[in-house]
Amino acid sequence: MADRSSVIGIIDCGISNIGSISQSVARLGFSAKVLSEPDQVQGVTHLILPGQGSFFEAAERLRSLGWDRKLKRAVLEEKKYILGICLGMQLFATVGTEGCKAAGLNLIEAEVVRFSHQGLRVPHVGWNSVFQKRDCPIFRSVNSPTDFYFSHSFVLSCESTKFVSSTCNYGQEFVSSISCDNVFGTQFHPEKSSKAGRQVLKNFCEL
Amino acid sequence: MLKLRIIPTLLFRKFGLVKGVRFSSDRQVGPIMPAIKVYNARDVDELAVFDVDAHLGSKEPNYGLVRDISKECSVPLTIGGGITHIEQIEKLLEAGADKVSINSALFQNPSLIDNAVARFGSQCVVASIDVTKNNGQWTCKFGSGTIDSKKNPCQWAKELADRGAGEILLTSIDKDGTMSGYDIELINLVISSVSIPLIAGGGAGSARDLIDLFKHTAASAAALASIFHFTQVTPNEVKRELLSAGFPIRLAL
Repeated sequence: MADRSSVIGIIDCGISNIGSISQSVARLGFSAKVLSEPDQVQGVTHLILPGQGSFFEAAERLRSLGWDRKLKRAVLEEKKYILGICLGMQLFATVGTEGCKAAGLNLIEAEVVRFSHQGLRVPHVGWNSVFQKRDCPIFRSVNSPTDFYFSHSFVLSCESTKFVSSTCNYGQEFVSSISCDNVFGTQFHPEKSSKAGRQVLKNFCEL
Repeated sequence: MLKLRIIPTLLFRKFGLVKGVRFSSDRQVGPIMPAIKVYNARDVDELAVFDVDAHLGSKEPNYGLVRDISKECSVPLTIGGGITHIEQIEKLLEAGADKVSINSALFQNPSLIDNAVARFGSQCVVASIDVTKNNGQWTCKFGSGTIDSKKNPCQWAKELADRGAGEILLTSIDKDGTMSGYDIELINLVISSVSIPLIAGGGAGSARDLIDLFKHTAASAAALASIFHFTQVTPNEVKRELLSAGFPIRLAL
């Protein structure tokens, strides 16, 4: 259970608000290590891939800096736990369709697509209710529905609902979190979602 | 359902919080860090913190202070004041800001928005617009309301949204600090020219003002300062009244 010997590696490839996430993990009492080189993946037990901005640019960065191979090995072979947050989760997808098509890490069969408008204000920014669809360890001790903080213009579109652990509504029902074995992702920002977010991060760090 | 956001806004000068009326005659309202801790403990929806003197010189944002604030803040944090370069945005995000609010620099260099969005994404760029009425004409001012840009707020908001800003923070200078209600006419004008979320600022004095704002405009959020500094009203009290009036609101846990 509360294994504070976990070392949480936060992947810094220049696509995110690293400060915010590493402070949240540290506040929980876990050791947070910002990883700026793919080789540093060796020294940690858990990985967090935060992300903001453009799928295309981020996917390119993961590839050109050599993160993609290291991450896939750590997750698929060494079975390290990984949590993707926002764009970080979207990068787990097979393909992103933002502007031009770009390949993701292909950990989850899914596409990343823009919110279909219908007069909605995009980006979807703010607190919205997350409905859990099945048991998932990162939602342990979290009620359904609970409000989490979102800030995004693109959503994950999954081939199958089997990876979907929660959904949320903004003009349409969309995927707010996924899980598959040791792979977890949230479209919302647990690091900015107050107490409920703290619980989700704690659940992940305690896996 | 997406909730309407109630965003306490803190203005600081050096290490002290201040708040004035119509962007002038600032009153000291206490030190920063205790206020941040109280708002965080009250589990507010978001916090926005502005350095009101930053436009005056070429000084850098106070990254150390942002780091201290972000350590105490487990909700989204917007930082504004004096941002002129992309490197400053990078450092602010590194220090723990989630979003940056940009205003004055855009009048000389609107492409700062494009560059920031390409690099960090729309979601972390809040374009801030301060508006006043001059001889019956709406106009955008900058430099903490000291310089008239002669730009029309609707056209300016549209340009900033088209360049990729994620949100507009619209403040009525005439209403700022007066606690006499939001400028519904101005908010409706600007909101109809953009399809991104708009945060309305300037004028909140009671929960009734918030009810009027959300009843008569499509604002996604409200920024408030004086009401929390100078009255006994707390964010959750305002939110409870909005909730009982039927609005989608997130109460503190």
